[in-house]
Parts: sequence; structure tokens; C-alpha cells
Amino acid sequence: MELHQFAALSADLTGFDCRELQETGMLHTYRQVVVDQTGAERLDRLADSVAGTPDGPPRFEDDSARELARAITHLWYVGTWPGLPDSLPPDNGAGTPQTGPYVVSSQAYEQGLVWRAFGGNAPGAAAQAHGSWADAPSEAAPAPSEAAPRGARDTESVVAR
Amino acid sequence: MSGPQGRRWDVVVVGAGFAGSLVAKRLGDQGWRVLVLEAGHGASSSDGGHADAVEAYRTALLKVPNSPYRTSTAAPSPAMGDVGEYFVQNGPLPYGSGYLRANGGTGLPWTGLALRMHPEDFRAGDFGQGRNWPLGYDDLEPYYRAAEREIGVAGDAEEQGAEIGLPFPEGYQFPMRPIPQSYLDQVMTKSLDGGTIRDPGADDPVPLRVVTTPHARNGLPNPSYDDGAGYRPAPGPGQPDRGTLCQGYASCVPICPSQAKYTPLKTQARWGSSVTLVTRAVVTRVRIGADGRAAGVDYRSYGDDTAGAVTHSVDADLVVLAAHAIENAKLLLVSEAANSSDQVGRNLMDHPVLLTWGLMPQQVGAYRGPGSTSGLEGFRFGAARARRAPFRVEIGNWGWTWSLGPPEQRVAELLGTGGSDGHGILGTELRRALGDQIGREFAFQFELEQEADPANRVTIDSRHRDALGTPRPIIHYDLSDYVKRGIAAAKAVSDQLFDLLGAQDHTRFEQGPGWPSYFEFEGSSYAYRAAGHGAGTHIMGDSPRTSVVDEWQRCWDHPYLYAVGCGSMPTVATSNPSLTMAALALRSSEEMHRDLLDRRRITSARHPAPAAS
Ligand SMILES: Cc1cc2nc3c(=O)[nH]c(=O)nc-3n(C[C@H](O)[C@H](O)[C@H](O)COP(=O)(O)OP(=O)(O)OC[C@H]3O[C@@H](n4cnc5c(N)ncnc54)[C@H](O)[C@@H]3O)c2cc1C
Ligand code: SF4
Repeated sequence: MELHQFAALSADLTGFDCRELQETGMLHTYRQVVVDQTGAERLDRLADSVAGTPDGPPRFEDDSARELARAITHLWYVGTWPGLPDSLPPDNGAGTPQTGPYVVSSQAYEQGLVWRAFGGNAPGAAAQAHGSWADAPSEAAPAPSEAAPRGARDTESVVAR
Repeated sequence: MSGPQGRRWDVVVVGAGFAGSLVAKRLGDQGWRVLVLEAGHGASSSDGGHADAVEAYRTALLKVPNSPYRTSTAAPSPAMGDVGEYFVQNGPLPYGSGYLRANGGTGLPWTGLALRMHPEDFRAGDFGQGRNWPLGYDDLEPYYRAAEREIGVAGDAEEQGAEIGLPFPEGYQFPMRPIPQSYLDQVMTKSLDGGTIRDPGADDPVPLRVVTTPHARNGLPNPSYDDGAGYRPAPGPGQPDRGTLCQGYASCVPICPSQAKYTPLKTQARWGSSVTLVTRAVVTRVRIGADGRAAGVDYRSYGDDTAGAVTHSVDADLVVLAAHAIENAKLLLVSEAANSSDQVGRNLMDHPVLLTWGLMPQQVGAYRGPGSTSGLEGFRFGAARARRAPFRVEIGNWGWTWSLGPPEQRVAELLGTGGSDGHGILGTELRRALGDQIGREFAFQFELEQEADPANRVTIDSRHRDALGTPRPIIHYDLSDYVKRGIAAAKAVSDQLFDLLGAQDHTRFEQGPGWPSYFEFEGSSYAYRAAGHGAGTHIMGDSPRTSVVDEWQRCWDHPYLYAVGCGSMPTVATSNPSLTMAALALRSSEEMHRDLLDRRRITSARHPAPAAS
């Protein structure tokens, strides 16, 4: 799957736009993790079915597609590959990767979107000014409003292909 | 390692944790030749393994207290809530506290709250619950100050005096200024200060006041400390000459990336040259001589695992057990030592913690800064403690991490079962739901005093051994009705606090694997977590018939054998215990020094005088 397609799918699943996802520096890594874990085909099928429902919440062909969508979203939000109930042995012959759950890397942990969702930082990841915790929290970057199209598909501009 | 084998030492200290590191420092400063035997791994890197531990933390799937640190099967480290991996839990309720066996001990993952006990806490027996201490607050006061200097405490002495009633010498200041209160604390102050609450255990309504907590983490140095000499925070291993300010990494448990939090490695960095540390050395037995004196210890060294473990024996004039309350008791039991009172291993105490959690009406910026920067202190003292266990209320600023798990767990839940159809939510709906909830999360942490009860105890049995063949601790543990009444009172207080705050209460205890400590009391459901404060197992007292150690933490039965740590405490009170434990260790070090001088006088023909005393 092309990086921009993976970014678009991820944007739909996470509610963060492609630019925000790009900023985490995790796009390449996560595409690789997902392909390693599920195979390219299954990922393509998921992207097709999600892209086929441009408005409203994503719809899924079946439970297994929904499971994969959850796993990818979890990966983005937490930096952990959660594993899949129906995970297949890898077909690339590259030895058995960890099937999860596992933390992808310390960078993945630090970039978890869950912290951004409320304007925070992953514990142990970012030094702050002494006493900054006494200040009122900064506004969390607001999620796009309901009316706006799901995700942002301006992938060309932010994602190097 | 300079081959301790065969040498005779002035002192052997068992355990390079919180208490052991302090004792070794003090005795080393007096010039005594001190061998410190540490069961766990040590790090050879100049930063004491800090960078590796931070990386291990960030990549750990479960960010539990021991996760950053290298543990060993030769000296297992029980996790918080160990239900039988290392401990043998004989119930009826689970003992929920773990500890860390690695160089630095449990003082690596600890939270770093550094409160003094109240004068009243030394006389719990007067309230008909638990025991009295053989010494009082006044005896310990100078050593509290020494401990506050040694570990570096930030706080507001004037407020501690006014709001808690702690006596300080005129004009005393902590080494560092208080750690700023979290935004959550300030919101609470607005809603709570000046109000009152009905505590079912107390006669009168309890006035509320949010009070800053003293911390063993670096705040701004206090220029007027020490009569104007000021204070220089100690660096962590590998840091230049000065410690860093607390930078709000919000991961104090289990590791502070900036090393602003005190760990025993900071004390070790200041050990004099007469102190020798040997890691991967599991002490298996205290040797008692024919004259009843401690003669030395046996220990087993290991490589990477238990294969090829080798047994060694060292002699010393003085032996100090500092292996943690439960391991100290185990060592005494294995050695069949110090137990003429039959109290070794008994009186196991902890702080059972009632957690209540919910959502504030507004964003409070949870998960920023230290886990707790303030508390409510009005339920710790007074006549009510005759009726129900007293408690301290910590205002918890790390959301629901301790009660339900970190935010990751809310992500998984919303993904799995969120939404109106219960099939989970995604996309902007998910982002909005998390954004709304997590920054409003908070918790109250009620730490209950548990009284010394001889029935709560650690025993050993040769049928239960660890990989090295050392007996595992077998634990019998329960909460008395006195503690349960305290928990019920704390819950009643919590309900009123939620009302005053206009906060949404999400507290719910269910029987099951999430709450192995679940119990019912007077028709209501409760469960507790544990604070990691194991105490009482070699209890201190004024008589060899009823206690294991004297006021100096010296075993009544054996001259020159000391057991230091929270295991000596006759009451665990409602303050986190380690500052008191540190003060006791510093006080005992002086008696050890006197013992060593005595011993030297007796045997002066055989030994030259120590270099620097
Ligand atoms: C998660 C957590 C948070 C905490 N937060 C706080 C807090 O905020 N405030 C507070 O006051 N207290 C806190 N505590 C409690 C505090 O950590 C302990 O009171 C303190 O560390 C006990 O010191 P110690 O020296 O007795 O034991 P430890 O610090 O555990 O040190 C014992 C040492 O002995 C070694 N050892 C064990 N067995 C052997 C053996 N057989 N041979 C050789 N060496 C051995 C161990 O490896 C270890 O290094 C917390 C505890 C936990 C678990
Ligand atoms: S809040 Fe952060 S910087 Fe401060 S002591 Fe805790 S982990 Fe260290």
C-alpha cells in the first residue's frame, strides 16, 4: 500500500488528519507493522471498504475488517500493536515476528495520539517547565467538527510518496 | 569487585536499597570498612543504568513499578499485586505490595512522597489500637532533619506545622521550596477549602483544607535553608555536579527521567572509599557465633541466572540487615535468629489504599507533573482513631491509572465496546470522546493505617523455594474490622467530596481478577490496592519479650546484629513511611558506630583504629 493511502486510511480511523499523523513520524513504521502483521492484501481490502463510505462512520465488510481497523487505530493512539484474534502466520518467510501485544518503540509510545487528544504528553516522554502542571491545561487541539468530512484527504501535500 | 572473600569487615550491610545505602554512607563516612551485599543486578554504566531503564520503561507493555529495572530469578522481585508468582499468598485477603530487588531497591520505583509522622503516631497504643513506639517524635526530630537533607525534601514547613501540627524547631525550612500544586489541587482548593465533611467515625464535622505534600524530588532550592547556607540538590549518577529540577515528566513511579526524584543511587554516589558494593550477592543466612553475637553472613553469587551460583562466607564485627521488611524477616527466620519473642515475621503492616475515581466537571490537565502534590490531612489524627483506622487522602493527578489502568485502557474500551451499538467507535468520534474524558480524570487515594496484628505474618516452609533454593515468603494477611471501618468511613468521605466538587463518581468494585482484594463489609462492596509500604516484620519495642529490635533497631537477642527498614516500625501511621525509616536508619547508624568503637576497644589488639573516626 502506498504511504498516502495508508495515511488516508489512518486519518479516517483515528480522527487525526494526515498532517497530524505525518508529524508523529510514525507513518512508515506503522504501515510496515500492519503489513507485517496482516499481509498487504487484507490491509488493501480494509482501505477499500473504508474509502467506500466517505461520509459518516466507517463501515466494515465483516468482523475481521473491523478487528483490523480497531488494531490500526489502537496502534496510532497508544504506540502498541495489540495483536489480532485471527492473526495469520506471516507469508513473507521472514521468520515469526511478534504477534502482539507489544510496544513498537519508545518513539511510538511517546507519539501516542491518546495524549494529544486531550493536550497532554505520554508520561516519561517530555520535560516540562518546572511548575507548569499548576497552570490551567492548554486547550486540546480540537477534533474536526461533525460536519467536516471524515479525516482529511489532502495527502499529496503532506505525505511524501 | 575487590574480592571480599576471606576478608574480615567492620560491617556487612545486607541490601543496597533505601535503608542500606544510608547506613553504609554514614558508617563509611566514619571510616569503617563496609561491605554491602546486594542481591540484585547493578549497572556498570556511569549513569547507573539510568538511560537503559528509561528506555525499558517507555517500551514496556505494562508500565508497572518494576518494569524499567533488570530483575533476576536468583532474587525474585514480587510485583505489586503478586498473587503467587513469588509470594505464597495464604489469605484470607491478598497482601498487595511488591518491592524491587536490584541495586537501589524499592527506592528506585518509589513515588517520592516524604512526610513526617505526627507525634501522636508514635503512641497508637494509647488509642487502644496497635502499639506504642519505644521512642517519640522528639527523639527522632533531629534525624528527620538529617534525612530531609540527605534525600533532599521540598516542602512548606510552616504549612506542615500549622495544618498538621508537626513540631519543627523555630524557623525551620525544608531544603527546597514546595513542589507547586497541580491545577487539579487548585480547583479542589476552591471547592473544598473552608467546607466540612461528616466522617462517620468522628464526633464533629471535619474541616477541609488542601495541604501541599512534602516531596523527595527537587524543587527550587531554599536560599534561607541551613541559616542562609542554602541547599545544593544532589546529582543523579552520571549527572554533572548538581541535581535537576522536577520537570513534570509525570512518570515518578516507576522512573524519573530527569533524576529529580531521590533514589538511593544518589546516596551511593557519595559513599566514601571504605564502602565496597558487591551486586548479585544473595545473602542466605546470618551466622550467629557461639557467644550469641552476629559473626557474619553467607551469600550466594550468581552470573546471569541461577546456574553456577557459588556460596561465600564473610565475617564482620557488625551485621546490618537492610533487605526490605519481608526479606529481613525471611533472613532472620532462615537463620533461626532473633526470635525469642516469637515476633519475627509477625505484625506485617501495609497501607491498604481505597481508591475512588471520577471525572471533574472541567478539564483539569490530568497526567501532568508528580502523581500527587496535595492531600487532605484532617482524617489522620484525634479521638476518631480509637474507633476506625485513620487515613490520609492523596489527591491523585494521574487520572485513573492506579484504579483502572492508564488511558490506553480507555482507548481499548472505546474501540471495543464504545458507541450506541456497543461495537466501538472510531475516527473523530473516538478522538472527541477521549479528548473530553481523559483530561478530566482524577482519583482520591485514601491510605489507611493498618495496626500491628501478630496474626498478619510472613513465614517460611522448605517446600516453597525460589530458583536459587531460598525459601519464598509465605504470607498470611487480613484486614481487621478496625481497618474495614476506616475504609467504610473513607468511602463516606469520598461520596461527600464528589458532591462538593460536582464531580461524576465512577468508583465501582467488582469481584474478579481486576480486584483480587474485593471484600464486603456491612452490606457494601469494597476493594483496596496496596501502597508498597510493607512494615512491622521485625517490630521495635521496649522489651525483648514482645519485640524483635530495640529502639536502635538492634536485635535484642544478638549483640552486633541490626535489622533496619520499615520492618522495625511499630506503627505504619498514615504518612508514607520512608522518611521515617530514613530518619531511623540515620539514628541507628550512630549507635552502630558506638557499637563498633566498643567492639574495637575490646579487640584493639587485633585491629588498627579506623582511618577517619
Ligand atoms: C510503587 C511504590 C511506591 C512507593 N512510594 C513511596 C512514597 O511515595 N513514599 C514513601 O515513603 N515510601 C514509598 N514506597 C515505599 C518505599 O519504597 C520503601 O519503604 C523503601 O524502599 C524500603 O526500603 P528498604 O531499604 O527497607 O527496602 P528496599 O528499598 O526494597 O531495599 C532492599 C534491598 O535489599 C536487597 N535484598 C533483598 N534481599 C536480599 C538478600 N537476601 N541479600 C542481599 N540483598 C538483598 C534488595 O535487592 C534491595 O536492593 C513505595 C513503594 C513502592 C513499591
Ligand atoms: S514529575 Fe517528572 S520530573 Fe518530576 S519527579 Fe516525577 S518523573 Fe521526575
